[in-house]
Amino acid sequence: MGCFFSKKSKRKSPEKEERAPTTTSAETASTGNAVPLGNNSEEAPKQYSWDKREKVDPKDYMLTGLKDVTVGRLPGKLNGQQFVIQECENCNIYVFDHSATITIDDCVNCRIVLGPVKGSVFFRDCKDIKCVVACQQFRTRDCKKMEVFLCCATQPIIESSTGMKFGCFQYYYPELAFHFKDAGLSIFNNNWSNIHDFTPVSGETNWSLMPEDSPVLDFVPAPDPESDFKSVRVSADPARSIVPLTKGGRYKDSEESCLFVFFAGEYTTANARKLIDEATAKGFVLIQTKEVSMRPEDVKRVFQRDADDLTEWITKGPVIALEMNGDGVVEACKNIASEVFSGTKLFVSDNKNTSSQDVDNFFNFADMQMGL
Amino acid sequence: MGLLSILRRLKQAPEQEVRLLLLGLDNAGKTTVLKQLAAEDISHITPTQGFNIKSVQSAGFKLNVWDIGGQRKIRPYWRNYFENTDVLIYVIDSSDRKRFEETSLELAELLEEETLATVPLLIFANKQDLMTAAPASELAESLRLHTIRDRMWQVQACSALTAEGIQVNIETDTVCKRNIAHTARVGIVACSRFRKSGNAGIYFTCPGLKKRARGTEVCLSKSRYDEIESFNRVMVDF
Repeated sequence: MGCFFSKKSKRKSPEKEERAPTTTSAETASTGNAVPLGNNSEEAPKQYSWDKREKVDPKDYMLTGLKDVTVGRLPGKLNGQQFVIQECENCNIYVFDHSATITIDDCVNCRIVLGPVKGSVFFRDCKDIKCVVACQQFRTRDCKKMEVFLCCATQPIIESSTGMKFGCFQYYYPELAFHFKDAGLSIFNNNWSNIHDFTPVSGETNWSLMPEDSPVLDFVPAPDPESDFKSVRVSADPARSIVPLTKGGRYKDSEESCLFVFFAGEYTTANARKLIDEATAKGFVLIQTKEVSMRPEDVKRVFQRDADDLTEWITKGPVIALEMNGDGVVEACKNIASEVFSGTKLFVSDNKNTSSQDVDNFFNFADMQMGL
Repeated sequence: MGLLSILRRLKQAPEQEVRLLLLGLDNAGKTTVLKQLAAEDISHITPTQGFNIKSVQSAGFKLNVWDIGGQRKIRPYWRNYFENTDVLIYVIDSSDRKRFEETSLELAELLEEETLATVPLLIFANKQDLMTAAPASELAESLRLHTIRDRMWQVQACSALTAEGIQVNIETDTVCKRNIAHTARVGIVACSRFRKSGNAGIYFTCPGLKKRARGTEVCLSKSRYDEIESFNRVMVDF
C-alpha cells in the first residue's frame, strides 16, 4: 500500500494514510483519488455558473404519480428549465412553454403536449401515449403504442419500442413561435418521418407513419375549458400550424419536384410561409424544408452555378429551402417567384428536367452540414 | 484541471498523441462534449448511431477523441474501442436520477475490463446547468468511486452545453497540486530537490509549482523512499 502524507496536512484522521488517499471532509466529498499536496483546504472551489444561480425546488419542475388529472405549465412558468414527468396515468399534460430537456418515465394512457425543447425529449417505459412534441432530439426506450406529432431537428431514434406512429407536428398557441425561438429550434428543420430504430425486428416494423390529415385534436384534445389551461388559445388547424406541414418520407404523388430557396433577409420566414400558402393553394405539396447556413464554397456545388450574387447572399445568414412537389410545380413556382416575390433574393429551379437534381444537391448538402 | 493534469502526467513530451475514449449511457452528452472539445457548434446534435471521432489539438497535445453511441443495444460494441485507450472519460447525465443505477452498473463493468486495466478514469458529471442535477460529490458517493483502487480517477462537474468544466486549459493553481500517486503505467514526477527533516522522511518539491507554491511538498516515509530507484521516478502502488 502506498503511504504518503503532506507536511502541512490538516487531515483529521491519521490512520487514513494507510488507505487509498482520499479526503472526505464535510464540504468536499472525494472527487478524485488525489492527495492534495500541501493544505487540504486548497484554493477556493472554482465558481461555475451553476454555483451562482438561485436555488429552486426541483419539485416545481416535476410531475410525479398523477392520475386522471389535467396538469402542466402555462406559458412563462417553465422558462427554459428542465422538466420531468413520471408515473402518470390517464392524464392530459400540457407543457405550454419552452424547456431545456424533458424525460417522461413510466407513464400510461396520457395525452401530452410538449412545447419546444432545446435539448432532448426522452420517453422511457411508457405505454399508450399520444403526444405533440417539438425538440432537438427525440428518443424512446421500452415504449409501446405511441402516436407522436413531431417536430424534431435531428433524426428521431427509438429503442426496444413497438407500435410507434409518427406524424408531422401540427399545433398553434399564441406564444408558440416565441418558444421555438427561445429553444433555438427552427420551424423549417423537422425530421419527423425518418426514424432510426436501434432494435429492428426482421419481418416487422416497430414504427410507421400516421395517415396524412390525421386530426391532432382527436388524439391530443385541447385543454378542458374548465382547466387552468383554458386561457391558452390552442389550435390544431393545419393552416395555422407554426411548423409547416411536410409530407416527409411519405410516397410522393408526382415525379416533378421544385427547389425554392430564400436567402437571408428581413422577411425570409414570412416569405417562405407565403410561398407554401401560394403553392399549396394551387394543389402542390410541400415535401420538406430546411434552414441551414451556407458558405461561399458550397454555392457552386449546391446550385451548380457560379452566380456571384448567390455567393454574396449566403453570407447574410441561413437560407430557407423548400421542396414542392406536383405535376407542373416548376412552372408554377417560377410564376410565383416573378409575380409574388420579384425583388426578393431567391433561387428557384429552372426546369423540370434538372429540378430533381437541384433538390438532391441541396438536401444532401444540408444533411451533411447538419450531421457531424 | 482534471483532463490536463492527467494528460501532463501521461506524457513527458507533449506533441504526442493521446487517445481519449468517451463512454456513458445514451443521452449523457458525450457528443456534445466531443463537439465542445473541438470548439464546434453544438446546436444541432443527432443521437449517435455508431461512433464519432475527432482529432483535437489542445495545449500541445493531439487528442484523438472517440465518442461511442451509448444505447443499451449497442453497448456490447464498446469493447471494440478499448484497445490503446489513454484516458477513459465516462460521461453521466447528472440530472437523470432515474438512471444513476444503470450508469453505475455500466461503469462498474467497464472497470472490470482487462483491456481497460489501469487506464485513468475521468468522470464528467455533466448537465450541471440543469436544475435537478446532482453535484459531483453526490455522484462520486453514489457511484462508490472511493472503492476504485486500481487506477487514477477524478470526477469533474461540467456542463457540455455551456462548455464549463471541459475545456483543456491550464488551471495554474491546480496543476501539479494533485496526487503523485500513480499507477505503474502512468505517472512520473521529476523531483528537483529533496531534504531531510526530523520526521525521517524525504521531501520532494513538485517542480511544476516553482515559486507559486513554495513549501508545497510531499513526504514519503523512509522505507518507501528506500524502495525508489532514483530521484527521477516516484511511483506508488495502492
